[in-house]
Amino acid sequence: MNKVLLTVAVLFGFLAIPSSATASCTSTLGDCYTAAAKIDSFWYRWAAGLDCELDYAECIRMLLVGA
Amino acid sequence: MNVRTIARLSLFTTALGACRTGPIARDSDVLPLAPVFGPIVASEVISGHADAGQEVWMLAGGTDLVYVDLAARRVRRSAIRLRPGELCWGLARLEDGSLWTLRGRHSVVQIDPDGAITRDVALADPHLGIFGAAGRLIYQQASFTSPGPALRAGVPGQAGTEPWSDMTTRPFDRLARAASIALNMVACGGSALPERPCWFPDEAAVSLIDGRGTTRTIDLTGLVVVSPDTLLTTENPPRAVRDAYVDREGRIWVLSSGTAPAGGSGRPGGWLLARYGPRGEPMGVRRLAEPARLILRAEPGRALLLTGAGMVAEAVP
Repeated sequence: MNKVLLTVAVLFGFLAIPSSATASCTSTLGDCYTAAAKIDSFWYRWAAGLDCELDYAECIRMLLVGA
Repeated sequence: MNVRTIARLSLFTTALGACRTGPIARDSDVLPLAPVFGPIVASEVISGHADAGQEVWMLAGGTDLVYVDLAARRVRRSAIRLRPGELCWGLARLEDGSLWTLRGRHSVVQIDPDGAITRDVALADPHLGIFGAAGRLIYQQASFTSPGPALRAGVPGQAGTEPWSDMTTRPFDRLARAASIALNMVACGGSALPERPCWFPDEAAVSLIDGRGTTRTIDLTGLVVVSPDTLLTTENPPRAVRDAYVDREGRIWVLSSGTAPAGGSGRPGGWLLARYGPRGEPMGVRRLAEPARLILRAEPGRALLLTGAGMVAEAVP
């Protein structure tokens, strides 16, 4: 049940990203969230979700900050 | 009303209709860039740069240190001794001449001119950016909550850092946390003065920050700002500030994305070069003949730019 709730919460958060987003960074984030949601342990699942967001930030960083 | 009057009115009306309602583009509006030497880099992403006088260092492709001597027109490239799959981001040069970069998210490493790693300092928390100010590294820690200090300063290897500057992360309530983290990332440019320009990707403003963190925020009028949504969903995000440089008279040079000409939208770099006085007084915006990626150095009256083609070129507005 907890796993289902977390998956729903994670996907809801993903939906808050603009629906027109087509950048590979965003699609990779979605895939990462999906993989993180399958982790059994709550704390490892939470940490994996944070890593997904940091990976996304690093991906977007090249577009927003890089020259 | 006779035929002659009607003819004159018709001619007048036709002339009015033939007038353009928008500005007429003139070739003289475009600022040419004069190639000086190069190419010095390929199309790889430059994730950090530092300068001291006529010398510039860049981190290219996440793996290579590129050293440029602008006066001697010399370039040298060294591969950083990383393990397979490792990438670096950012480049800081401290007042003792040492060079530092962020390896992954959890360590800062000191690198020598040949790319050897001479010191490795672990970071307790994930970081997304690094800069240098005097004898301290300026860290951008990945922040999952906002508002908060965007930057913190500390001596490499010493425990504890302190907030540096007035730059504060912004909450983006409509966006996912991952997007908020991305929009709060800081970029900093070069300077010939103690104050250094730093900015957020979604703002047309720079924070001029000295070594102690004293901050002046300058709004940059005349630059196009797009919504955060557009920044996050465009393959070549149109940034109001792509790079900035403070020359020795305190003038702020800004490279802005602008609108690419027909056929030029896929080329890396900004198409506008803007200048502002020390307090943000607009001094003009010029469209570049070709896109530029960085301002390597600026002096009153001229700037040396890194073009989209990787050349060092001179711009004289």
